[in-house]
Amino acid sequence: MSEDAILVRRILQGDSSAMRELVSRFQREVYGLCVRYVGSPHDAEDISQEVFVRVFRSLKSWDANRPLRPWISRIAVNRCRTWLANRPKRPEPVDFLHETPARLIEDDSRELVDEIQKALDLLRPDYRGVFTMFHEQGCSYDEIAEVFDRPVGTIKTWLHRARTEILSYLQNRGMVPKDESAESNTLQTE
Amino acid sequence: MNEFNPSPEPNLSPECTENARRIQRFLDGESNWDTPQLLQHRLTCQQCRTLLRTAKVLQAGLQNFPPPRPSPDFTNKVLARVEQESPRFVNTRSSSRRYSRYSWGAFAAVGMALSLFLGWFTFNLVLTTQVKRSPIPPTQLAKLSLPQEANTPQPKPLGEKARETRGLFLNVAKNRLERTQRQADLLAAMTPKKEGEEDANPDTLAEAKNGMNRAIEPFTGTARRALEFFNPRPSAPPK
Ligand SMILES: [Zn+2]
Repeated sequence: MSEDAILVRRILQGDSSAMRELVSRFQREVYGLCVRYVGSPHDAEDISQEVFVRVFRSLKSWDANRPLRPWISRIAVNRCRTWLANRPKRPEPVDFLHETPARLIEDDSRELVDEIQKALDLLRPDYRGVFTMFHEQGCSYDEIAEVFDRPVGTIKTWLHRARTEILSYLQNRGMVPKDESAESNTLQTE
Repeated sequence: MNEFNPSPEPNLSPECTENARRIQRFLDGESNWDTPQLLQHRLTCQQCRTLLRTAKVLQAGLQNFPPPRPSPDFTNKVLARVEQESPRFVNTRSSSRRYSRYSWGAFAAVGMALSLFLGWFTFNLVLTTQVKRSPIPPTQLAKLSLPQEANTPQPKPLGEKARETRGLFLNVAKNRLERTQRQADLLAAMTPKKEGEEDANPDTLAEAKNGMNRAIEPFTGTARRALEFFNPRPSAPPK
């Protein structure tokens, strides 16, 4: 029996410490996804709470043979989509980076991070969600496809478009260094 | 889109398209090496050089991307909200509430099984006592049995038969209890407030619907609500 399955069983048996454990285990992912998706930390916190309420309410329908994380992320994506569809008007995106202590980020990197954040805010919510899951949460294409209930090919297309739009934005914002060395123009990873 | 769209576009040369494709793989984190052709191409293509440099900038930026964090008391807020909205999950004494909401059918089944058990037990006891108190001695009793030529199968001793029947009823009751409990569990999962189906797996939903039609009588408000949920009346407003 998986660790997740044991945790869920404890919750269904009424163990409230297990509920706390589940929230602790997944809160960063759920909140991280929601905040990128809806663009507002305040709303994301509210939506994330609602996600967990729904998770507990639906826990009995979770298939213990499948991983818990994508199942929870899927509920989060659904809640975010519903929230976006029902909200009266798109709020001004709040730059949550300003809530992050500046000393955590070097000054020169901070500008770049800030610009990437702004580029993300301009993307379609689904693109933002996919981008976040892949680049921030380290999810695989398969996992993301499961969460979004779309074929892997669609997820790849979304992610590639998201990146392309961000790359384009960064160029327009002058974030790209001048064409200096030949070394920076080779495509190599370890 | 724009000029850096990785999907093949008629206005992009095959080398530019290949460059864009490899840059996506680079950002995927795959091992990615230039081919001599691609290196050669970038020497003359400003657009591809810029795209590559931007990709490297993005990759570096993402490494410093601060993960969003919920508020420090997030867990407490969630649990308070769960207690408010779905108290049966937080309150350890909630099992009684849960049963009162979902399991009248199950209680009825258990009650029925118990009555039957007690009925059979009493019946069995009375008969055994009668046999024991019978004024006819066992030797006489043997003579009173049916003649051999009738050759009818010997009835099983009453105790065994009663046990068998009891077992049968208990089995039925147990099955019914399990099935009812399972449907109640599914119901609990499937009928959350008003939105309902949104997060539900269609298979589970179909199973719940099917099982409910067979196994759960509308004993409770929840079951009635669920029946209305699955079979909405024509007059109900559209979702
Ligand atoms: Zn080119």
